[in-house]
Amino acid sequence: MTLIHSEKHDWKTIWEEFRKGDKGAFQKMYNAFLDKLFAYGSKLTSNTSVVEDSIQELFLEMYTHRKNLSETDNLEYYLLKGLRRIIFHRLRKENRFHSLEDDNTAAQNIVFEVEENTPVDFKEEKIERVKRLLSALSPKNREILYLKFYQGLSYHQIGEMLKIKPDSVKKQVYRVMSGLKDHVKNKLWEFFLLCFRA
Amino acid sequence: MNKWEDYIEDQKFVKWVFEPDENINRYFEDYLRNHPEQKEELFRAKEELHLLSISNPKISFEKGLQLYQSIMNQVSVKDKRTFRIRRMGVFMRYAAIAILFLAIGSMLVYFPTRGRMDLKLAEELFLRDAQYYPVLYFEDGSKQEVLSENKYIDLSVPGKLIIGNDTLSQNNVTAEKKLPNLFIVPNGQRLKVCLNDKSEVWLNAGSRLILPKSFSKKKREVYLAGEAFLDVSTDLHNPFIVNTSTIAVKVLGTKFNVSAYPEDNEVLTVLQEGKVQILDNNAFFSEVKAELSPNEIARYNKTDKQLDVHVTNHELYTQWKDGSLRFEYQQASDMIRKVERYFDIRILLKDPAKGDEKINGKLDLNVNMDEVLEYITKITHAEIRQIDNKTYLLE
Repeated sequence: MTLIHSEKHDWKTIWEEFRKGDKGAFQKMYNAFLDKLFAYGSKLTSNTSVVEDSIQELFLEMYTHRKNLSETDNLEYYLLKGLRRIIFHRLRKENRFHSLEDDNTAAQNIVFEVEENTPVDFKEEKIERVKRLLSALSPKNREILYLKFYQGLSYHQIGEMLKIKPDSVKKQVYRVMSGLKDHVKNKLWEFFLLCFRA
Repeated sequence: MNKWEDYIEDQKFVKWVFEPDENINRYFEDYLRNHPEQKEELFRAKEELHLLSISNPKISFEKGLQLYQSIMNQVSVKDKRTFRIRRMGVFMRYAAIAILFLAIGSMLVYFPTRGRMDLKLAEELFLRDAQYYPVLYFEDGSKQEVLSENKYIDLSVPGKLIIGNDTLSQNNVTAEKKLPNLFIVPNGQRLKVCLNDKSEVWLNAGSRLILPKSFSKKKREVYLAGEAFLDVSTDLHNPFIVNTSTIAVKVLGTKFNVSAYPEDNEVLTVLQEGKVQILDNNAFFSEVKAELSPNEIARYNKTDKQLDVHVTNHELYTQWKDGSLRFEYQQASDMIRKVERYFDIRILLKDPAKGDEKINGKLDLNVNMDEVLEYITKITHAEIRQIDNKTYLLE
């Protein structure tokens, strides 16, 4: 907890310095968040140059409007939200996505790597079941999980970003987790049985 | 004691699962030493959450650095711009921009790469101002719209400026005004310009041409964003150079087409007559990348920065200036993009795969727009539906 806290405090100061026009602060923010932004952008589109151009646009935009920017207690959230907006704006322009459905503006590129990450003693049919469970998730639900666990955003922030009620964001996370729990529990149970037999 | 609900809300736990590092591992070792009874629960929760693993691509160090330098370069240009505009006030905004262009124009000779950056910025800046007619900007910052039916500018008669059917005598305009040095053609419009070296430039919809102050019969260099067909007057001693944000085309006297829209991923140069050289504008010293013969096309890909030369039929790329488009096994999205610019409309695709379909045919743009749209439905085997004033849906 202390680690995260001190980081937050630090960013607040850096953010203030940046708003006053300090290029060193600008560079610090860029260095610190580039990887996170690139990782998130790559989940929204597989077109790497769109991701890179959007990151560039995001920082340029921030710099240009720095004097009009408000205080922010969560810089990461601020940047991710901005990047998301820019990327989908570009994608709409390029790919002519006609956004009839919401899912056209959700992360299309999140793939859960069940195979590589299951415990060795996990049976094949179980792997299949987990895979099926995860691949059945909608792009929006995948993005919820990604933002929750990989970017550490709060339910409230995720809701605001994806335009869903924070309550339903939480519900979706819990639903997926309980689904996974069932599989893992069974597996452990089998594991215990094996131990007893031996 | 802890339930899984508590674990997944704990940032440190999540970090331990997905991005473990030495510190966080140490933290949990310590935690387990103090709470050995939670060991099984904790590991089970970890295993569950770990099923949600996703690989995270990394941006290379070089790429990150390159991106940052590009941001800083543009930032310093922006700084300059806001400073000038602030001082002069909103009222003088266009004047300020025009002056900036002049400054850029003279800078270009010494700092070619910087000039291109500013061109990019200019593209961005002007795209925001919606215009309905072609506009000329003069050196003193004044502007003039080309309202006449005849979209033609002639700079080749000494002492005269011919706009459409009107002739302005240079004596009537102030000394600073002199010549226009920026031509902006919005979507839905076209403009033909005859330069003072007698070279002719057809500017297609959505294009911008910058004529540096230094432009003369001896120093023929222009900047283009968008598409233009050029018929360059022959002068074996003074090459004519068309700069884009990525490549430059160097000629002595020929007819050719350059398509360099900022929003397109490819810059296309097609030669009708004579000979042209394609130079790489990204390199500090522009180097010759290719030489084209008639009916060859050079495609420069902005993503991988590769230049390919192929044989083609130049008419496929040059007939727009006479009001028609021809396609031979080309992507439907290419045609849609051209029609959008020509009529200043937006055509959405219900099925993005439609844009990848290959099409053949000829499109006469001189008929009215509805006929063109109907023709599009025929070659793409789709229906078209109007959504609003300027937007259509192909489904």
